[in-house]
Amino acid sequence: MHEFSLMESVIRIVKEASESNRLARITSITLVVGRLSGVNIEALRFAFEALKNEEPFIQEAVLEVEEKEGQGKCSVCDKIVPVWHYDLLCPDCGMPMQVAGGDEFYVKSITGERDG
Amino acid sequence: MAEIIVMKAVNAENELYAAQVKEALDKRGILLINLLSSPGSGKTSLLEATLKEWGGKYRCAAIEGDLFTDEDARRLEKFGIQVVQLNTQGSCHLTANMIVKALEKLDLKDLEFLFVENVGNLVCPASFNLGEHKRVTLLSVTEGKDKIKKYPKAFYTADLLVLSKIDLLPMTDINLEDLKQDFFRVNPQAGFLSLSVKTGQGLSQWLEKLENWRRET
Repeated sequence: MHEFSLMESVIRIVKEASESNRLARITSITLVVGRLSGVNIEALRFAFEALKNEEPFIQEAVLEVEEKEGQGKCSVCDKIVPVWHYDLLCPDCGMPMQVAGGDEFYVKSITGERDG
Repeated sequence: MAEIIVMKAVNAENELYAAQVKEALDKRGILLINLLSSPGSGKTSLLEATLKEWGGKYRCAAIEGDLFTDEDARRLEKFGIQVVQLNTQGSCHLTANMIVKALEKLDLKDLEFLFVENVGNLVCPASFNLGEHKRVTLLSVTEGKDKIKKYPKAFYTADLLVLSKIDLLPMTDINLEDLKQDFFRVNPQAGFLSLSVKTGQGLSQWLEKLENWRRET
């Protein structure tokens, strides 16, 4: 359940961005979560609901999550295919695949109302 | 209403601390090893065996991560090394800022190896870089043959897999070749060692690996 500490980091990032852009109240937070990032979206939502009550500036915010599919690259023939696990073999040559995408986890954007 | 594009990685803060750890250790030529495994795979026992075999050959220190108690720290202090016990009070993994704080409690002068024993957990610790030079994941043969497939990230991010308690292999249903194949499917680049601290089997290869890593960095 490392999603709690990840969500704390998300909130710190959102706070920093809202302060430097003079947003008083945040209405939505958009995250990008890769399928191979090791982050469970349900656990993330649970952590968000639990933590947002402690932070008045995000109390009305909605959490949007964009999922990215995993991508594997064959270690031999460089073929790139969608993958859902870490242990898939290349459909063409049967060799192990390296993760080529879908392991990202970042705060994409926030929406909010300006001060005053 | 305004939309702000943020595009900031959630682990960016942890990566900053990790870089700070790595820089502090690189400056002094200290090799940092992050040990990951389930509870009870033998991380502390492997460190005990390492320290016993070396008998002071290298100057070592350890950072012990546990939810509660200082039992592991006390086991390692018997070898006359500096140990910092980190109690996460329920948190399931160590983060790089905890290591930054632990380094303040250590005398880094003349140190050669720093071992971090992560919280026993095959899931969460895999997602947090601690600034380590090498990540070692332990798997004991008694944990069953499916762990690599079930918890791939701990194996995918490892530089070395240590299969521990190999003396118990005949008592299990693990086929060593199948297990190796499962591992190399997840992580074709990493190394693989099997050992037992009870019988001493494989221990010399482990020590050799540590010495080679130190020479490389």
